[in-house]
Amino acid sequence: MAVSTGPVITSPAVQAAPNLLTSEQRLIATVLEIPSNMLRTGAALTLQANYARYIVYLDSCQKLADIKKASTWPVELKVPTTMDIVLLFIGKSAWYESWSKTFPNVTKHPDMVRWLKSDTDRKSDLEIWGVVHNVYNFSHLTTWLGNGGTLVVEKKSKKGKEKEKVSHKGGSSKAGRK
Amino acid sequence: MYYQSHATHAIFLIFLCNSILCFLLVLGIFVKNWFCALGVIFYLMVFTSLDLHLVLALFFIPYVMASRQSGSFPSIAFKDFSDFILGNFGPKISLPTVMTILLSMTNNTELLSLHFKQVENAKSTSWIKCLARAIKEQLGDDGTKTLFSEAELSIFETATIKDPDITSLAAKLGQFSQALEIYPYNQKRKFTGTLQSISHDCMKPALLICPNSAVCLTAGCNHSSLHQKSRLRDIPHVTLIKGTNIYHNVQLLSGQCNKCKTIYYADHERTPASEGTQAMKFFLNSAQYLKVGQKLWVNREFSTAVLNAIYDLHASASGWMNFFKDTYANEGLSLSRRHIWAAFVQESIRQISVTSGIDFSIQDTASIEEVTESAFAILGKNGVIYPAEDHSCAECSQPYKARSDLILNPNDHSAVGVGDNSSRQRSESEMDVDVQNVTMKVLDGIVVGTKHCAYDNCTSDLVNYRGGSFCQVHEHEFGNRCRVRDCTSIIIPSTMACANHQGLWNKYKLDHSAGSLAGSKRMLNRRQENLPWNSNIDREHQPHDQPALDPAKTKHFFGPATFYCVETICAPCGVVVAWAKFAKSESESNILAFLNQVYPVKELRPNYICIDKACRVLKHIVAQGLWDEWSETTRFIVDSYHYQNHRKTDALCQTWCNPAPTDGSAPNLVITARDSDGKLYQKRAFNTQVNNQVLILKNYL
Repeated sequence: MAVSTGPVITSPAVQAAPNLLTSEQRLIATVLEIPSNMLRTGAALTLQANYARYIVYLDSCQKLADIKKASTWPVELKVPTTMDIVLLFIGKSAWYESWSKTFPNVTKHPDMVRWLKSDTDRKSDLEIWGVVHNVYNFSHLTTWLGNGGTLVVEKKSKKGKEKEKVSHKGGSSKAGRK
Repeated sequence: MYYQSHATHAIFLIFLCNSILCFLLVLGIFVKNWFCALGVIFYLMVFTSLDLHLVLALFFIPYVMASRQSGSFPSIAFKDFSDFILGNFGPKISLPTVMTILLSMTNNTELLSLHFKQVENAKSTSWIKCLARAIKEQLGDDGTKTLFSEAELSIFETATIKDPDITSLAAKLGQFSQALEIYPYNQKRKFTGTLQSISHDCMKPALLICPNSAVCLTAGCNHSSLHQKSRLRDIPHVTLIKGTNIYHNVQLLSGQCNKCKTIYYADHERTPASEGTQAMKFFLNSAQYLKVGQKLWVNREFSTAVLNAIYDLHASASGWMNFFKDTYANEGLSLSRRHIWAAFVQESIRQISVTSGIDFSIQDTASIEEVTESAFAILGKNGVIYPAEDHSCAECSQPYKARSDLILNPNDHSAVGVGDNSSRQRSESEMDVDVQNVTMKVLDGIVVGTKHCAYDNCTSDLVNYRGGSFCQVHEHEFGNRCRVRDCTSIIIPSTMACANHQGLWNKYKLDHSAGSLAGSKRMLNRRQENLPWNSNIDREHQPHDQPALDPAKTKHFFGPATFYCVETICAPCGVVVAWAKFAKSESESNILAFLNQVYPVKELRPNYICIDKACRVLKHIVAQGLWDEWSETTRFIVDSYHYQNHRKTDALCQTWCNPAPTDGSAPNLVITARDSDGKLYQKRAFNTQVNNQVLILKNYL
């Protein structure tokens, strides 16, 4: 196999890495130059903090692709897969439940991207979400994306509601719960 | 016969209805009820015009052919069965022999019908003698002897008739058939017709899926026993496909070592998470059963069949699924293309792991996509095929020769060009060749159109292979921007372009529509041929043996980019040693980087490397200042097909890259052989066209 002339890992730059990560994961984070404050801690984070980590995750993927292309990945370290990089930032369940369902679709809404990045020219909560909440979470974002960019659902006429009720009666139990 | 279809039923019913209607018509006329007669005529006119169409339509409705009726397995008491065996066969008869005879009876009911129709009693016929002969061949001489008592065997030795054992066994088989109630006569001694084939469903075994290791294999556990882990109510019941048989409600058991807490399953082992390490799943290469779905397991025979069908028949996962469901499945089986894909991935990992001597492991609870990516990273080895690394055979290595045995053409101009050949001869003798054998590897590329991110200089995987054009990074970067280069406008929903570029988008969609691909796009054009109905685009074609042009930048990113080719390194015998994907061109720098990756140290390098553009690679190596390093071990030659063109114009190619100089300057490339008349002739030592031949054989070209 090719003997890589990649960088030699001397001292991990990620000194303050949380205990959730294994030593191998910390080394990968060091090679990919991921800031320690962006690594997985297990603590609950705001949507903005999650998005900031998602941006760093994308940068790390690009960096890994460049390193692979240049064949400069350290030979003593396993080449990480996409999921290995994901696990530096977030748990697997949270990735599949929230990140992968929301953030890739958010890019089509530049106003929401500005809000998530906490840009100075971002719109207000009410303008973006349509409803003011103290805290916005992934369920809000999922609903917001599902409604095409708002949390407010227009009320249907009474007649329509009745019809919907009738149709739900014949539907599946899952549909009924909704 | 027992086979009937919808169409047969339909024809019969239509005939019956028409007959009744005709009868009513005649009756109506006879009783002078004109209203009734007119009604019947109307019905006849309508329905007789539909008859043919209806029958034809019914022919095309997919139907399942009704299976032939089968009889039940003999349900005689075991004591009666045992008494018959002990009373009629030898005392040393073994259980396998008894089972062979029993199954021979239950699987040959047609033959027994023929026999009993000919003679009602237990006399021998040629039918039953054929069965006796087949059983004798199946059991062998030693097994056949156990069917008879000592007294019978002694009688056979002195008997004068031909094949006394066959005659005796045939009589016993007739009696055995009657004892098993496989007998086509009723109590009134009346023949009841051909015996139905006997179903063996009631003899299906009760299967359980268990760990295939009886002890814990972790160091320090001292081969301790495994305990059944799940509580009774938690034991999952799954469906198992074993070959072509389907078993439902199979219990899935797992074992746990009480010391190390490792859980053993039928297809993998799971080590628990501890501080600093994650829970890991170790794939067992010796697994008999593989999990391919939440409640579906398959045996290795099934998964191997999937693998072989996908490679040999070029079958898709959904195609294989349809084949299996239509042929073997019953009502209770839920099989999807995802199950087939999982079987393909799991079997591939096992086979490659065994060949590579690697125990594949991955983090626990990994999806099949993660398993695939991780397996490629660990087992793929950057395109180097490890089992082929140490391959050697008479086709791909030749004994070293310092000088040629036969020089037919000392002044071969194709070999020496305009100068003399002394430089090449000196070069060959200076080569640090292994004195035992000379080896060659052949490089060539094939265009396969694998997709990658459309963004400039990005070769990452697409985030969506069905309509997407970017990797996840560039998909995020572009967001809702128009996919036309340098355009910053917002896209119109459900398209990939802004309002100004809708024309470009519509044209792209039209060119890539199913109708377009099925029509004019399928027409074969010659290279650079532009017929009147073709799009008026002046494409730049990449020349094969000349320097690659700078690729033109695309106007838009509506569709993904494709890799230029897949480059393979083959041994002259056809064994593929390594492969790599070249994104933009088969350039000299790409080839050199590929060679450096596969042969990082000079000891691994072959003595000859054959490439269709070897002269260009040689020039590149010299220009890079690497020739001193490469010249110690390796020479670059052009393959015999491309050399025909190169030798006309390229003096360097003539001098250094001739694949078969007949002037004796390369004694290891041209060897001597004897023809059928015993005359010596020269031939090429290695096959330089092997890559194309391999790809043609594998139906890739």
